[in-house]
Amino acid sequence: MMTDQEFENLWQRAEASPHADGLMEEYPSWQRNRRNRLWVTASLVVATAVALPLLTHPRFPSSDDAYIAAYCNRSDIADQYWVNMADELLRDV
Amino acid sequence: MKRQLFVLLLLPLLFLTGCFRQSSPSESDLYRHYAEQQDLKVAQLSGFKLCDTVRVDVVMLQADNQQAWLRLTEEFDIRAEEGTVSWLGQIDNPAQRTQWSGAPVMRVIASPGRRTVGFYRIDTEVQYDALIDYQLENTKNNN
Repeated sequence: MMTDQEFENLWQRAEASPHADGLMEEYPSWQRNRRNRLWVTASLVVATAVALPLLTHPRFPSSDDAYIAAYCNRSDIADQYWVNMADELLRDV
Repeated sequence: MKRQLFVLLLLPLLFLTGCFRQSSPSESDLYRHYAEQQDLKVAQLSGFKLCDTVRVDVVMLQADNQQAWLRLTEEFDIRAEEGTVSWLGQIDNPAQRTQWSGAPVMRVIASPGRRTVGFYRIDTEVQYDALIDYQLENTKNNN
């Protein structure tokens, strides 16, 4: 009986063969481990794909935020200055 | 098999990345048009909150000096003697006055005292109503 590692090496050589599927069925423990590894990889990729935008992007603002994004051509002016200005202009009318 | 799976896993990642890039706020044409002018402070607030459920995009131009303000008053046909004025302007040309018809417009507010012009982009009737409600609410609070 081969170990999983030995079978892994054999599998790398035999993967291209048309008989590979039959060979894999002879070693269910290796097949199970391989499937588990693939699931872990898949889960990590999907979790990263979902979590990254959620964690880093400002398009998911809290309902308390006064604005989602601010741009200004002067770096020395705080965003809050413009929030106040947008509010005051509406009050002025 | 591994390569196919990798490609399959990559697809949702690319899809999500594409989605969040498309919908991310970006600098408007109006902001970009004025941002390079040296004597104007130019700002854009994307998603300025009017109430819990309604937000609008706002661009503001603030003149650094009287000369820059006079240029703005000529460009937008603002009469300083009238004090703070407001009108609905066309999206592509906010100086051009228009009326609310349900199509996207700019609510423009010009304040000579602050040497500032604000452009509130209205795309929907909900935003139009919320902007009026915001003013009414604040007027009540001020009194």
